Amino acid sequence: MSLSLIIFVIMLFLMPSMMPPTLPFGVRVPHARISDPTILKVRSNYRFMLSLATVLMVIASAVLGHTLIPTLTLGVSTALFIVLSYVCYYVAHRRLRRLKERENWYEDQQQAAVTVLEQPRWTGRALWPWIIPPLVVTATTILIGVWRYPSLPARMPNYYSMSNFYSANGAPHTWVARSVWSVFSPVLLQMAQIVVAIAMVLIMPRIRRELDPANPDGSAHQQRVFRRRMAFVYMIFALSLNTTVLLDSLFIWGLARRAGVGLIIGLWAFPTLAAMIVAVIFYRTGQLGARVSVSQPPAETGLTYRDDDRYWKGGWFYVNRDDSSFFVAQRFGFGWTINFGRPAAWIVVAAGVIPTVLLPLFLTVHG
Amino acid sequence: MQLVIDFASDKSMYLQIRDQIVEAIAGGALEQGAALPSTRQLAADFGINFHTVNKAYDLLRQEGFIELHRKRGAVVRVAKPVESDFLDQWMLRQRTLLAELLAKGEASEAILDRCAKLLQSLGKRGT
Repeated sequence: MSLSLIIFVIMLFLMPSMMPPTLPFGVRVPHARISDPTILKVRSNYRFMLSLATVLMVIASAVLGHTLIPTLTLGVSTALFIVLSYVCYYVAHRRLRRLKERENWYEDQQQAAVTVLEQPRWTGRALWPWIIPPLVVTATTILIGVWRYPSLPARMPNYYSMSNFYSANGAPHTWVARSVWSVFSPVLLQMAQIVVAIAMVLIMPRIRRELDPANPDGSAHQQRVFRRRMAFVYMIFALSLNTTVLLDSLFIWGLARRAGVGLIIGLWAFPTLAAMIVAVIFYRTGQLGARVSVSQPPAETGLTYRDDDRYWKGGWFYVNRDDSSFFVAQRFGFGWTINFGRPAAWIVVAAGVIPTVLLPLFLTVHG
Repeated sequence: MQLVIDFASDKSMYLQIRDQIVEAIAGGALEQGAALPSTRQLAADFGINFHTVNKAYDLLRQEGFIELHRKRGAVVRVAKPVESDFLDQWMLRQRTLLAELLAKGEASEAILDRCAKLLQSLGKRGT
């Protein structure tokens, strides 16, 4: 089982401890109820169920491993695990929501929304340098490709055929004719990462912060730290992906041997190291900086977050037409998700999903 | 400086926003020429409808507290003498407020004292 998957499973186990205290399992609770004993019980139940799901996944992959090729086994068991882990989350979520409604936790609570006006406002300009490392890798890939292009054979291994990378002796099965497209199409993946990185630097400062009404300045500080670290995490992800593409390309362009040490280190160790770094950063930061320490909060404002659970369908999808925000913070996980109540969200989803799903299909067929 | 929307309050949201911005300008937390967030940005920050913030900003502009520029957006207006119609309206409102306390039997000096204290508390914020 891949190490990255193990890290993913561990993160899911730790996830409840990494969310803001007012958001156990995607349920908004008032500050007064943060330490309610039921929340802890629900948390242990979640972890127990998640252990069962993990065991099921291991069994499934052992069973499937006999009949399917390794990639497919990994894919299917991961998909199974993702579905099961969502069920674990939803069970916990539902239980807490019911409890909150039954015991009327929001009675007598002063619900508020707070924002802090900073002068000057954080523009995120300091994030731009993070784009440089993945950009350098992309440029290197292009340069090497251009240099190597004339000496490439007329027939090359098909980049998009997964079986090429998992065949027994490393000899490619499927081939493709040399052309600018077949040689440089992987670079598109790299450039897509750069585009997303740029979009992130431009958009992140404008995403609402959802400051804690009980401690606005403290949570503003946590959010600043969180956003800087998220930009860094994305840079690591982009760098890792682009480097993987570079190394794959070196193999395809005949510059590296399949079983070469460099390739093994690059294709396995580098992404795994990246996953570990990202996991550590998330662990120490928490969602929205929940685990970043703040100095003693000032006198309690007596205010608490508004109870907006009704907009979170299935505890997962945010749908609120009245909310001007496009990006909102995820309730269980790191980073942000989209407000599906805004029409533009569906356009973005279509624009994101269609190329991601159709493009590889198209390329595999035509490659 | 903080802007708070109290969802349980009887005061409508756009008035809460408007009042807090006026107080912020009075106290110096928002200086003359300071830029306010765009309507969309502020609405997103609060998680409320864009039109609510728009209403607040529009009211502030009509009353002469802020100016809306094409490029810079909403900006706290630079000090000018108070417009006479605004002053007239204000005097009418103040007259009613003072009458309320007098009607309840409060003495003039006590009322002036309260007013002095309020002015002091407004001025201290943000300096």
